[in-house]
Amino acid sequence: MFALGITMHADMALVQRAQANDRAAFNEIVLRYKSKVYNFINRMVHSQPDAEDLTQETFVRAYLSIRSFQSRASLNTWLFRIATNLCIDYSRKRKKIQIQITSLSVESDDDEGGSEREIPDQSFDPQRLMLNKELGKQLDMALRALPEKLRTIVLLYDIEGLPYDEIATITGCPLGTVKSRLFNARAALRAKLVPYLTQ
Amino acid sequence: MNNIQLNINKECAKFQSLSTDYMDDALSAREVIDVEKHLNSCSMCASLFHQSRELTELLHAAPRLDTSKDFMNSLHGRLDNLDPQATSRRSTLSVLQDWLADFNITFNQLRAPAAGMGFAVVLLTILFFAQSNIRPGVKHNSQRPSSETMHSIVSSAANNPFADPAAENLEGRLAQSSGALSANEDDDPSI
Repeated sequence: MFALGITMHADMALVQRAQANDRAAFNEIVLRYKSKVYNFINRMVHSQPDAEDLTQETFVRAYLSIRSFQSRASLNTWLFRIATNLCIDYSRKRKKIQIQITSLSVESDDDEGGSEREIPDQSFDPQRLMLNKELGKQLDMALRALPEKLRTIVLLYDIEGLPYDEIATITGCPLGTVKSRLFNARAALRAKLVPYLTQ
Repeated sequence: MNNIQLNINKECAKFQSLSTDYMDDALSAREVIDVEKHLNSCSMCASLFHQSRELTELLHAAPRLDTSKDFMNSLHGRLDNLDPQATSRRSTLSVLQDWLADFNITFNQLRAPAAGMGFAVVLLTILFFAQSNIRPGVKHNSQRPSSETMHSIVSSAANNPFADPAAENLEGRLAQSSGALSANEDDDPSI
């Protein structure tokens, strides 16, 4: 909690400098949040090039509207709200033009020379990671199969680790709706992954 | 038997509604006791709960992805190519919002000194009008009578409000002129 307060204070200092047209301060904001935003968007849109483009668009919009940021919510919440709205717009456009990219996204996961880099989780046993590689792949597919609203909640809560109140602000939903969708999302994932779970 | 099944289902439904918060350690002590009691008695819910917990652990351990090496250069290229007017051109509403935000900031910063100044102005105004009421009818001109003159005028008026030095001079002149006229009338034998 103390560390979170320090982070928020540091973010506010950067925001104030960025609002004064300090490009270096905005650059620091991008470096701090680009991985989180990209990780979220990539799992939402299932396309690496589109995810990177949308991540850039997130920060371009943040750059253009940084002066209107009033610190009512955290910088993290604000950036994820922009990213979530961009993902919603993206999926609407995709539905309109009916582009089938699911199979392409599955194939691109098998590419060894991809443009994205995985950040190894230092706290996790590599051997266990190898054993769960297939399970991880199935988890990824199960996430993609979730409806967009449920996928958004489970990505923000279980993967990005955001609290309920921030997710409610990001998605514009009441707290009860966030919890309900999280429950339903986990139930749907569990149903798809039952053969791979130990219990 | 149906009642038992109905009760079990109700208990299971209650547990499922609390399972997410239980996993997040967000339940009260009483609720924790109820949940764990049900987990010990219901194998189906226990199995679902352990599957959910394993699932959340998998999600927490999901590999994190990062942007490409060219991401920052590409982003700054886009920022550099932004229309300069786009960074300054804003809608009327956003301009108004920014002005209100700036006003709130400025107001909050200057609230205390502004209140102090306002209080001082009010106090000075009260003092000014209070001093004006103490000396009614005093003409404010550059040539004010001396304090001794003022004191004599005030004291004479206080002693005899009808006393008028100018009137007394006039009476004296009138008496002298009437006395002269009477003398002239006495000298005239024809009257």
